Amino acid sequence: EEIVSSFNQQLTLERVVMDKSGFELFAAHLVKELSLENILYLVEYMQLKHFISIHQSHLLQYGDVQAIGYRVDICPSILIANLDPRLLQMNIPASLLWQITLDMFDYLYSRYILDSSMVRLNISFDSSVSIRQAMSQLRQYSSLDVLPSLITAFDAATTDVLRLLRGDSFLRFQKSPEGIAYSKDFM
Amino acid sequence: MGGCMSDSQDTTDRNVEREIEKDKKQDTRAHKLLLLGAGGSGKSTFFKQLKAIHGEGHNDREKEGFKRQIHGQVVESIQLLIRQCKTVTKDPLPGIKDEDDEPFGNDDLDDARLSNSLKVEMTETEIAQFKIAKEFDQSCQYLLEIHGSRSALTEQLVTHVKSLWNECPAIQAMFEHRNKIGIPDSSAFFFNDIERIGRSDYTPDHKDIVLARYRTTGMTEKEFHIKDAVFKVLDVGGQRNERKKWIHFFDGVTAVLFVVSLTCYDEVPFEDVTDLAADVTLMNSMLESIKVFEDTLDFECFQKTGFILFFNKADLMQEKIKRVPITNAFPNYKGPQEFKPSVDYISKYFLSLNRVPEREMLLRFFFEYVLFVNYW
Repeated sequence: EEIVSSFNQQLTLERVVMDKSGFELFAAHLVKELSLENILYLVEYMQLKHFISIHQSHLLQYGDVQAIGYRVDICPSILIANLDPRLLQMNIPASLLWQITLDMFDYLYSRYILDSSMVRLNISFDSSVSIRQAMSQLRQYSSLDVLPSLITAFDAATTDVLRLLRGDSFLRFQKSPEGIAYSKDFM
Repeated sequence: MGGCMSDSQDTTDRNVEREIEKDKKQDTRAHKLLLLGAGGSGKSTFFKQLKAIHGEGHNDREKEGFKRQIHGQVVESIQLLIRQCKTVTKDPLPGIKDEDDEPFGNDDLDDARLSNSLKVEMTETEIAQFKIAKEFDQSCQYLLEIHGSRSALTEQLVTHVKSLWNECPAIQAMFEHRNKIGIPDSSAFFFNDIERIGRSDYTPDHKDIVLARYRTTGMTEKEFHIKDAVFKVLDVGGQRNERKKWIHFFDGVTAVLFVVSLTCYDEVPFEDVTDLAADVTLMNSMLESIKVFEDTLDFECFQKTGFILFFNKADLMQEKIKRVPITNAFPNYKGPQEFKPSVDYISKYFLSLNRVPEREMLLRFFFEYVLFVNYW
């Protein structure tokens, strides 16, 4: 009991989302609390980063892998299994790759960032302005040059979301019956 | 349909139905109280107070959670102070290794943030007070590199925070503008007590727990048994995106507990925080609270629902009113810059927004960490 309790106290968000059952339990907890948008954003943004990383030779200038920015390690069976397999094919033409990337950013922007979004994120003004600026820059100059600033802007929102989850929902998950059951199973 | 269901499936279904019936009965006898209010008004603090007084208190596991929140608040507040100082003075952030999730080190984002500073109209002398001296570079760099999940207060971290807070005039000067940059008042309490809260055996006490500030996302609920009555209290997030979710909880509400921070009349809402250029007369959390209150009163389902207006942070207001008049949010106020007349004006203003005379409206005042002190 003590070991489980101690393990539970040491649990981190990163550790839970890396594991399939941990991810599912945490997502179920967020559904109950009506804050699923936070983890959905993380998954969809990390899917986009996965897409960029697979096609980095076409999408990243000078092969600068650092430009992909920060990645949350989400369980691959959640992240990749839910990504359209056609996006993982290696024979996609470069121009189409870029168009798909833009569409994915557009999707994230309209779904999570815009004031009118149904599942708008609880992020700071700073983050949403950075994203708005990057998106408007993109509409003016649609070239690979803007990719790093787009990623940087969305990374700022990711930091906000992670902080919110760590400081609020995750703490409740930890002490919930699901969090304790997860700790027991993990042990 | 269902003909192929096994006996065990049948039993499971019956158990689920029984559970649902039980929940329904419990829901019927419980008075559902909805805690609403704009972001940062103190809904979750009120919820914590209720739990401490009418619930089972906070167990060790929860205290560990509050400890993480407090450590997170210290780190985030000091990072914000440093970043704002650097922004105003257009001082490049120290070279940060972008080793994990902190995007602060990225030049593009820093450029975007620094470009926001162009709005700040200050004289060179005013700007100079926010210049962090070179001797603190190492502390700034160390603190800005901290990753959220690593925010436990190590000895080294405590030393850096202490040094910046106690010895760097720029950080103190920036803290004076906390109302514009989204830094909670209580961060000063934690900075001053950094050695205690940084100890490895630190356990938050009641005051620490109540003073801890964190945004809430979604909804959390808790049942309280007070004498023979059962109250189910729902706490929700107050930022703009969170308010879109409120409607899901409006069914069967006995009363709305609407929380207003009395000190927020010069504070910029979280979603609008930019930098020192913010004009608090154009947008402040009191104006936001008024709008949210009006919108809430207008909901069809609340036309016959009782409202209890909780005015929070009365003790902090007693101090703030000496420095800042309420005319930031209430330009028509002509009374003296004193606590009682100002609070009278604010409470009457809120009450006047109720257009349904038969709707019951109660007023309560509470202090930061002293509960339910009746003002009247």
